[in-house]
Amino acid sequence: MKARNAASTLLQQSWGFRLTGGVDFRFGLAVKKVTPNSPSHNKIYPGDGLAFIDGHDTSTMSHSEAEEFIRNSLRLQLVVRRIQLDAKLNEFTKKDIFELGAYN
Amino acid sequence: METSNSTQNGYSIKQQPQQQQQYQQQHQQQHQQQYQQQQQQQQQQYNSNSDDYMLPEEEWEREAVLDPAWERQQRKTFTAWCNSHLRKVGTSIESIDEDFQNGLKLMLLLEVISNEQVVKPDRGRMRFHKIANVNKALDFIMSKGVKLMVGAEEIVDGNLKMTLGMIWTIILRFAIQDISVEEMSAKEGLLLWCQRKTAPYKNVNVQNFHTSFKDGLAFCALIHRHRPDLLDYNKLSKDDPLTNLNLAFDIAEKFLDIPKMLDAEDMVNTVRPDEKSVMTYVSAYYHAFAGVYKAEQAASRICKVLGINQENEQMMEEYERLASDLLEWIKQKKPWLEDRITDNTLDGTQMKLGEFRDYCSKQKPPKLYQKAKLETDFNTLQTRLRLSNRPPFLPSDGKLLSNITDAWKGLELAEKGFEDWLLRELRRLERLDHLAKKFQHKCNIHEGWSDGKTGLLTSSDFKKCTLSDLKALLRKHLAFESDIGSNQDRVESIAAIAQELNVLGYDNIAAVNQRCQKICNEWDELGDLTQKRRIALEDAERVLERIDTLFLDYAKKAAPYVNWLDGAREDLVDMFFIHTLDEIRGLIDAHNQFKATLGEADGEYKNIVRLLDSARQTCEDNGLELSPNPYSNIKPEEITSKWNEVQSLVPQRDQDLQVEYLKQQQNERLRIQFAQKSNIVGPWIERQHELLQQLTIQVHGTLDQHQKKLETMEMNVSQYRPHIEELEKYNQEIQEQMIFENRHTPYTMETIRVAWEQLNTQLTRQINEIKNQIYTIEKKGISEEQMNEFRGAFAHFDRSRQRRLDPKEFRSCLIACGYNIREDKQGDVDFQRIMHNVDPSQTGFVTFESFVDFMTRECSEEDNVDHLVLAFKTLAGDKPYITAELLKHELPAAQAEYCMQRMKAYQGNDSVPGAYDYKTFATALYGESDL
Repeated sequence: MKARNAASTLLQQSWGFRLTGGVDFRFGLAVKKVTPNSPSHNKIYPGDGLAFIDGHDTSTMSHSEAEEFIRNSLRLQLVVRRIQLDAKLNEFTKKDIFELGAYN
Repeated sequence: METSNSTQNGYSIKQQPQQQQQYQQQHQQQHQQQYQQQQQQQQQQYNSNSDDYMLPEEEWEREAVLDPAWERQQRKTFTAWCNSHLRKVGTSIESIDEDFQNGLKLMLLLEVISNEQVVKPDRGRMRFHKIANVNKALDFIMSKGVKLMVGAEEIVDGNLKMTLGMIWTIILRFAIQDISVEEMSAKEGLLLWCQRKTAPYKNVNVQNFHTSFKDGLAFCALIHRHRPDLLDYNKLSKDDPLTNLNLAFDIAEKFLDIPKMLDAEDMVNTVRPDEKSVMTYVSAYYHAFAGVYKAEQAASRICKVLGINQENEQMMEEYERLASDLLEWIKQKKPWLEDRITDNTLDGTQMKLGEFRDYCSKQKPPKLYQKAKLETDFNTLQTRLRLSNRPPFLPSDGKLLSNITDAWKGLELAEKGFEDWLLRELRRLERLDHLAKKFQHKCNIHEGWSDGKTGLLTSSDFKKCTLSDLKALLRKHLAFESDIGSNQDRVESIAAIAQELNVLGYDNIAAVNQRCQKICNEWDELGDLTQKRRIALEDAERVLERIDTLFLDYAKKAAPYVNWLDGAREDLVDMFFIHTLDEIRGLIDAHNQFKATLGEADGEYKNIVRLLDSARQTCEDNGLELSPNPYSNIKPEEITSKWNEVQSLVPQRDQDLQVEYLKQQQNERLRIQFAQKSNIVGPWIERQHELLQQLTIQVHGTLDQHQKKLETMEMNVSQYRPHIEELEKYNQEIQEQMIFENRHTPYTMETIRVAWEQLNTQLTRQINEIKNQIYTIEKKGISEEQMNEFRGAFAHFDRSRQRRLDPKEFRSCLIACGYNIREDKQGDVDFQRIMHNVDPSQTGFVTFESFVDFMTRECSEEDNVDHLVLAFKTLAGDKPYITAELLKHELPAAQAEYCMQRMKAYQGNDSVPGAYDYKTFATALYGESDL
């Protein structure tokens, strides 16, 4: 009972970022804004594209599906596409995994 | 006299405390008697001294002496003011100098107005408890950065002047200090607010906080300005201050929840009402209206955002509806255009051509317009969405713009060649018709000729006849052979026609073939028989030597002549099938040549007749009966009648040719008519195309002017439509006359139609684009010069002229626009970030719209999630949720309904029943969500 309470309290907490896009908007899922001093602070940045959410491929995910996954996650693992230049490979995106720990 | 002195000098004279008390007592007794006199004196005094009210802070100094009337007003006003706050915690004061003595209600008052916790009061009723509590209250006030000259003892002792002074400090700090309009001091700020709000009202001129408010009109104006429903300002009169004041006070109490703090009689009867009291009361107005104003602003912002959303949704629905409509129409029309089978009749095919013309001129143009509208609507919608920071619109499956374009292309593909095919088919059927008739005609002639010939050839008449008869028979037979020779051509042409009918796929080919076969068979048989008979006759000839030569010449001449006559007659009734003036001229020439031979023919006719006549004459001369001509069975009557027929056919032929000539001339006229028109219309459209092309690339003058230019052009073009319709009419006439070629013009109706439709489409698209740019300018608040700069820069780098930039071009363009993008790794990273921003779907190109969007992004921050959330928060009174009641109260019914249908229940721990989650709703409107 106590654990469930803790979980539901955790679910009430926010990760501290604003999500935009989704296949229903013809626009890749991406981070729009990050709240300072939230769990997301200094881990993900505005403009990051989300490639995987807790291991789920986002390429066919609608906005509301992604929202559902993120809301129901207790330990959120995001693979993001971040624009970075690698002149040798001429590749502009780099994938990175970020794990957002929950509040203690 | 002390009293009158102090009164005359106003409030700035300092007095010793004893004198004050003395004054107070005196005042109590003397006030009533002195009042009238005092007022008159004040009146005079005031007129000469009206400026010194503006003296600064001194007037609020605690040592200042108070006019007794003012003191009375202040006491009343401040008490009401305190109560207006204390009622929120369910208490009140009666006497301002007594009820604050123990400090408890004072602390309560401070807690209410500051919304903060003041330290706990000491329990106990001893004097030092009271002093301690009052001190706590005073400490709290001082902690807010206010200097206080009041001692706790003075409050505990119930010193009215000190108490009033302290309350004024509190009012000043908590109710007035936060009013500052344009960085002015609190008092001036409040004054400026009053002046601004009352500026439109006659008879109101707020210059201060005392006399300016005396007639009450200023209060009424303030109320009317914000709540015009509450009073009718025009019915008020400056001469009735008491009514005005009471009206304002009553309304404020009843509708604005501002307690009566002033007394109408006091206001009227004092020469100069107490400034502090008036300020306190006016500040209550300010707070009441400022709150309303803020809520209104928030509500209007929400309405605006929702309005945009509703409009966008309407546009999306409209798009879907138009798209389904159009696709359905295309789906219905395409099979008809793809069906290339006719019923093989001329009428049926003509009807189909008529349907096609109807399709081209009546059915297709509105659909084309619909398609253009769909495209422009779509672009407008996307521009609107982009400008209001909404996610782009994705039409439902199969209704994308590209689907429409593809379907339309499919339609045009199906349409292409349809007309050609139809005309070809018509031509084929017409030729078939003509050939079939010709075939029948020739067959009839041939059968007429060949009828009974077999019988003649197989008869054994020559076995019983005389030599001359036999000779005649032989000659006759020879003549018949030459006759057959001349008929050979006809049989060949019958076979050739039958062959062509076969090739062209004539409907009733079986009958034709059968008839042709029969004729050919008969012909072969006839040849056979002729051969046999000739041999038989020649065998007999050797036996029979004597031949009468009397009619020989006749026979010789008559047979070819009749043949010639037959041929001529056949030629004369020969039907013609021609399409050009040259051909008919050729026919007429041939006919004229024929006519030139008529004289010769007439001579020949006369020769033949003369031969018979001389034979007859010879018979008569010798008294003999004229025997039948053994050499020829051609009767002179037959020659005569045939000759007459030929002669009568000549003018008939003349007339036919003339009619045909006129028809061809008419056709030529129609061609020239069409050609002349199309040679004007075609280049006109081409010029318009060029003009439009120039207008597309460059914009001179403002966008509005440019739009006008384009709209003028659109008007010109639409006014030009009658010319196109005229041309269509000519074209229809041409088609009805079965005219297929026109050497006088390089244009065909189809090319004109295509160019015309293209012109219209491009023009509409261009206007729409300019409108979108104007909309962008309005929405983004940028100037036309800026827009022109953007357009110039964009056009300069858009080398492909496709109205889009590739990344390289875009980078150069940005640098040209003053963006500092370095030529190194960091610059590349920066640029990739920008590119990602302007081309989120990674098409590899930047459109003009997203370019402008990017260049003006800073200007469009107004319309976004955070602003909308803030507006809702204002309406919700800073709560994280909003109730249905609040929505209905603050927003128009339609918008409130829209919100309630879409908002979810608020889930937080601090939720109340019926609470809505406005934050999720607001983010969802922009296609985002906070996680």
